Amino acid sequence: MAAKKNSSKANLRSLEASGFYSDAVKEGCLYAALIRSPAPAGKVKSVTVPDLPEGYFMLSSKDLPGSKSISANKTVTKIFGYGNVSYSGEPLGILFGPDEEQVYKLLDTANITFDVENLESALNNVIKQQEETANFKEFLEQINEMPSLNEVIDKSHVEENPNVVVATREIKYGLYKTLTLAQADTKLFDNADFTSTDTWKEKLLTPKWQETEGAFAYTEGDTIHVYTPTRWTSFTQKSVAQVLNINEEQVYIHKTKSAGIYPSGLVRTTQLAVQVAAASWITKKPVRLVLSQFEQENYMVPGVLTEITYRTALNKDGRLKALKIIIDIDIGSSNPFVQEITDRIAIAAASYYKPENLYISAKAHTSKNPPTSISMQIIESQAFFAIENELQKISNQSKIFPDELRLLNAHNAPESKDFPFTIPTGDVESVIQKALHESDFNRKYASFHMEAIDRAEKDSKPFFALPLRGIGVATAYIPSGYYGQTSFTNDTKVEVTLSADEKLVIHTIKPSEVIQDIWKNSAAEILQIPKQNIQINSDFPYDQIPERPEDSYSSISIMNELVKKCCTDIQKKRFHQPLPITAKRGGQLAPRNKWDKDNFCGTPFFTTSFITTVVEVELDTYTYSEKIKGIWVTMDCGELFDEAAARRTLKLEIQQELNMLVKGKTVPCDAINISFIQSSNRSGQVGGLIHNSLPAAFSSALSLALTTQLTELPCTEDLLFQLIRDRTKEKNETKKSESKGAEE
Amino acid sequence: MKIPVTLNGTKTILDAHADESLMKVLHKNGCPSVKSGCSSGFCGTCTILLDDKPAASCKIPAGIVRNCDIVTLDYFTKTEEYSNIMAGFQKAGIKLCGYCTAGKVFSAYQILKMPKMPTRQEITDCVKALSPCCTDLETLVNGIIYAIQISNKRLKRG
Repeated sequence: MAAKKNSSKANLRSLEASGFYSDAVKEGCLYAALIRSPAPAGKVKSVTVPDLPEGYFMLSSKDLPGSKSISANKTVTKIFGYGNVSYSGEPLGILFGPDEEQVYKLLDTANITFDVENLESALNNVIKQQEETANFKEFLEQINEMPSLNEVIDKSHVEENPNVVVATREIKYGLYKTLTLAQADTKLFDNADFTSTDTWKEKLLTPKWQETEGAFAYTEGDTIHVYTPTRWTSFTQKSVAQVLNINEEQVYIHKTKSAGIYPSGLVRTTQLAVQVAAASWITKKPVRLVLSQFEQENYMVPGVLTEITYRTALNKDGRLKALKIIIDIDIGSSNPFVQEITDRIAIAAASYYKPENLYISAKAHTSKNPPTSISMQIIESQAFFAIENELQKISNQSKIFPDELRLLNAHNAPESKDFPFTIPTGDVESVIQKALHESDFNRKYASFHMEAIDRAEKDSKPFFALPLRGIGVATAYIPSGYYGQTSFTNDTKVEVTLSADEKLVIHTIKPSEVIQDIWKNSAAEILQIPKQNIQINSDFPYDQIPERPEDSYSSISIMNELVKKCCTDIQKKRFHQPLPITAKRGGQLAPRNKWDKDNFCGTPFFTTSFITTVVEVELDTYTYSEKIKGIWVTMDCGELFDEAAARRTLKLEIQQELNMLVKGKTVPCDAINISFIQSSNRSGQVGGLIHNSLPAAFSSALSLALTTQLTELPCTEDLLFQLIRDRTKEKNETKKSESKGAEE
Repeated sequence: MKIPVTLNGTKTILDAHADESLMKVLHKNGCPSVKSGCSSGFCGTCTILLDDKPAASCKIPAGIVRNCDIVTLDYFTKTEEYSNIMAGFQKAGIKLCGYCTAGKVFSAYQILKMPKMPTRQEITDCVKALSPCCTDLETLVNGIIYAIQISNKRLKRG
């Protein structure tokens, strides 16, 4: 009996992240580096490292004992590249040895041979046929019948078109539903009071302070231990077993902490873990791979590249007559979550606004860029950046105050009955009004706006003695619990057990410390037990690890509700049946029929948190250095469990965001003001709200200061200079043409 | 190259290339607290005490630390100053992620050693370049002020 107990304990795998993979130590550790493809296309023939010293190893695809690739959501990822190269920098092999410096020196000597025999083989084929025709006349007769070079040439090296559309989403509302696209456009835009067209781009930067991705692995008998900052343990475990051709029972994934602010930890992290595991398994030595900053920035980019083009028509009364949104998503060579990303960006592209007519076309395509991934917290951020800037732009044009424009088109506009989406936001009006009131937005906006117009009309010089000032506002939401998931089935589960000694164990994947604290407080309150008696256990048998990525467990609202329900169940039974009592809950909380997956309409989220951010910017025109005079943030996340923690999270996110707005520097900020409104909306998450709103507010403020539109972030001094120069050029040309006209 | 140093109170000979970064050498020599961050000397994740002064080890070539006294966070955690700093951080509600700890603790240590009571602005200036991976600037400054108070109280008692 005891033996059975021990063996079952040994098979438990903890899903609690602890330590950092780069700190894991074992004697005789070998240091690894990846051999990457120098070209974006071509057929790899061989990867070799000549004169490999003793104790140094090189592995490529052909050395893998099991599967050469892993598959997630029908997307195949090669462990080491073989056949056609997908992108420049694709890992083709791993080089490892006892001296890290020596490994990097050897890396420079790696020999990658591509198949260049195509033309040669084609000519050979022609010559071969020529030799067969002995008679010259016959040859002349046959020459016209000979296959052309185009036919005999080996085309196997020719890449399939790298720009393949892999996911689409089209949403139509209003006239776009009944008329053709061209007819609707003519009807809506030709006679509109105000129109605007612009393309918006927000590129997510990789912060340099974080631990770069990588893995550490060692073998112990017939088991392999892998330390990796994965957020998808079940997939990593399965992939390691498949590639090494061993049982999953032999694989121990030790989940380590991720110091990044946009943690992904999905397929790309698993690929690295498998590469290191293979190196360790084949040589039976501990191996560590730490990506360089360059590799992290270029091959592990956060999010996807998007370009969102808006065509907006606005009525004089401030109602949005039409929004036509074209979204182009570049997912790199692959992304297993492409449909979900496309859908979420498409939904967020209209934010919570309800225009009279709406057309959204989102297309995601592959390219020769490195593969991308999904980071749950920042999926929608690029869409919010685009819509909020577009609204600010049309607000400037129409001279309708930004808050009025937003409120007029907010989700509760009475005439928008059959709108495809209902976003469950809380008290939008109060949140916007409070932020604007506290920042004295309207007065400053009017004053800066008048100053900007005056400056643009009277003075066309690019430099001004005084710093330029601008103020911008942006609103955004962050959703919790997306109902339209295409990547995974929802297997969110919580098991709560109250033992005889009044100790409570919550069995699920451990969330952040703040959320753990919230769970403990809720459970202690419901069951009337001391908080220190509550534990959260994240141990699972190796064959029962949840199949979903752990990232999706961070939805505080759903998990908190499940924990509360379990505790309430226990409390009901507590005095009627003996302890221990176990309560289990799982799955979706709200009825699924709120979201119509087939028609892509309804309420897509369980709940959302809503934010309004105001940013006041000052730009020194001599040095092009930006300074933020103040940031005002008002947030509604329903019931607030821990205000101090929420405040700390927001402040931290603001500080992190200030590092990402301008390339290569941190924008200084004089003051940060945070306030909360607690509406009756279901409680939602705080993390990610700043990232969804601050960049748009910043670029709007900067655009006002510059009197020209900033359409992309992060900005650079060069970009600002170019914008000012272009505006001046435009102005001079207008002046010239005006004076020419007057002369004539 | 053999480099004699005093590492965490023990005379040691480091075996390293002269141009290898001290951060890598220390990490390999059993000092996991010395971590790799921006590699430009700003973020603070690789901070050590070099002759009792905080220094970014990523920018220091191993060859120039001959006969120096190096203290890493792994050893510094045993000191009273560390207890004071952590008590102050705890009071401010700081929960460090573990990756940036060396930079934040050693910056606080440097401020604690100042001969006069620093102003809030002086503290902010000292720590504003550190990585904002887990703690916002205002809370960190609060933590350091608490640490100064705790340290002063203990000194008075002593």
